[in-house]
Amino acid sequence: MARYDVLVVDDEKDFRDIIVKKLEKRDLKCDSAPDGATALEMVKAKKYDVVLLDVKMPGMDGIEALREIKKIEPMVEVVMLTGHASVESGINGIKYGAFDYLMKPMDMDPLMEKLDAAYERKRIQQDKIEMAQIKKDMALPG
Amino acid sequence: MADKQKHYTHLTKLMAAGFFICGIIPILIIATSSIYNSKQVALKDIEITAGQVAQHRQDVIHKFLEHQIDLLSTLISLYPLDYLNNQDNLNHLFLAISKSGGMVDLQLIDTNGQQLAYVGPYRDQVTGKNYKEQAWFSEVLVRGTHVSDVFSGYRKIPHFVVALTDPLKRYVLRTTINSSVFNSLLHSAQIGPHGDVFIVNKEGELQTPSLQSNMTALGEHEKQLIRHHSSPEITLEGDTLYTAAWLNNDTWLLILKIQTPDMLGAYRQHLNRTLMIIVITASLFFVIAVFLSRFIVAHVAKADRESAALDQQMAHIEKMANIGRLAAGVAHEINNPLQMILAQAGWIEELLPEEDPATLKNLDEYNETIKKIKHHVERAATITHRLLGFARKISAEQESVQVNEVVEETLSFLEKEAKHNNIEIDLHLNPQLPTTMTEGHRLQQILLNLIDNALDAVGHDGKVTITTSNTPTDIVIEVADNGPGIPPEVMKKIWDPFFTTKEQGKGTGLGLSISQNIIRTLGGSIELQSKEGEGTVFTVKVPITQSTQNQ
Repeated sequence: MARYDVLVVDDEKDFRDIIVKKLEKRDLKCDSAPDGATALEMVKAKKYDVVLLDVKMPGMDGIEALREIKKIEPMVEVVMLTGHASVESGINGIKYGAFDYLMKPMDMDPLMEKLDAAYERKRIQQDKIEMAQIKKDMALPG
Repeated sequence: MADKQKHYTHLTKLMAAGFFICGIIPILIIATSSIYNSKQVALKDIEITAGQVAQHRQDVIHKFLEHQIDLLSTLISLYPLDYLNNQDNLNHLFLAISKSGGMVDLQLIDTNGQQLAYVGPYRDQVTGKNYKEQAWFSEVLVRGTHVSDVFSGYRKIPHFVVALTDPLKRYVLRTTINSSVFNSLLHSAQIGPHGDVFIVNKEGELQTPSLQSNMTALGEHEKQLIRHHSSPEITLEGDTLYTAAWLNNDTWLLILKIQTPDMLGAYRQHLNRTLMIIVITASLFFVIAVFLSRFIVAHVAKADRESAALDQQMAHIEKMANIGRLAAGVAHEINNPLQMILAQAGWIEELLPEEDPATLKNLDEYNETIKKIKHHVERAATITHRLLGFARKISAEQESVQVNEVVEETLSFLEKEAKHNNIEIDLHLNPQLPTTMTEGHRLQQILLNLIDNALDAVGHDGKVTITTSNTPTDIVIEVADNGPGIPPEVMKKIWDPFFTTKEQGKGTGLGLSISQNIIRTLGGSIELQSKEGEGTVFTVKVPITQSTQNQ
């Protein structure tokens, strides 16, 4: 049983593949998308817990994709992937609601830490919402 | 460069000539007009003097002749003919009237021209002579009073006479005028050593000798004066100023000749003085013009050189920025595949433990190989990171810089070269060195320059020592080498742009000049000490600033 669902968005196929393989090996359910537009479709179609999003992509870039994803699914946590030259965009991403950013190349351990932390937060938020809902339901008369 | 030198030389000459001409023209104009005016004034002076002298002489001579005539007419009116016709009486009278010295003799002649009595030195020549045929004698009879022109007469000596008849024209009393006394009346009228004064009659014959012994005949101009002249007149003919005045009932003409050059002494003095001033001023102007133009052209040349250096520096910065961009691009492009290699190797590493060790006889080899792949990818990654760091710093502004790191990073670029030439690099980095807000890349550029120079200076088998330390205000970086040192004549020019001791094409000669500029913009300083044979020490000081913006 997978611990949570992750969507990997990167334009480089080999990168997507290896990350997917590695994450699945670590008990995560993993899908991948080659660009922002596809990612949006996939976010609409299925509830993901965490999105691993490359900042620099042809077509819709990471920041734009981030904002769109947050519009569609505000609860999903996004971890940005930046290159050396695009650290600024990673920091920028946090302003638009990303959970954190990671600089490529990244080792698996920090990646897993970030993903777990992101999922953790998502889960806590989710729990809070559920609790609030329950309280609201209980408060209802009758 | 030689072309440029020619251009500067040309410019210098042009400017010097310009300055000189501008300076000297007004002086020439003033001097010329001053000389001209002073000459005019001098000439006017001479004319006035000449006019006065001529006028005065005219009066003196007129009075002299009048006096002689008066004496004779007094005798005539005082004494009857009988009394005069007595030799003793005449002697007596002559003694009385010739005291003034103007008269040579006294002679009584009857109207027929027969001499009656004579007192004087020429008795033998004149005794018994008849004067009826003489021109002057008939003039006297017609006019009553006559002053004759000079003639030789019976005595064969040039002389002139004053003769009177009594009112009844019964006899003629005549006297010969003492020529030397008469002539001496004119002597005082001579003006200047070459001046002349004499009297001519209407025929142009000299009545008194010219004071200039060489003068025998009248000049054309003098003849013209006799023909056209009516009243005292002053004319200038060449260098000669003629002043003429009529005498003796307009029968004689007094001519006063002045050689103007004689009289222009003061003017000539003024001229000489002015010329001297012109020469002195001109040479002064020349010196100033040459000096000034050299000074200006030197400044222009310096400005040219500096602007060329600045251009070069800008080009250099541009080049560095381009290199940085290129490096960043390359590093970025290489980084991605490197990461892919790393990730793929990592994947194998993850999967390997799941294999059955029994079926995999080279398991250890695989693990070892994966480790090596990872190690070398990391090495490559370090290089690309360094390149990216270099590129980022090119555009970076002030940041917190640990100078020790900058030194180490700089050395990493040059280690290969040092090792290749067997140069030992001795590092003394102060571990407690504080960080400072500065432009790391620019500092690195300076260090790169200095260390590169040091390596060049050492050549082979030497030693380069790099020391960092700090004072309360500055971080001090010393780059010392044990190379041959810098000779004093090179030392003087070492900071000049384009100065290089390296071979043609190897150095731009801008390294130190740019370094100095950079360190100035960073607020620091760069100094150099060198001893021939012992080596050179470059000392760079960077101020320690802790920015408040530092987070």
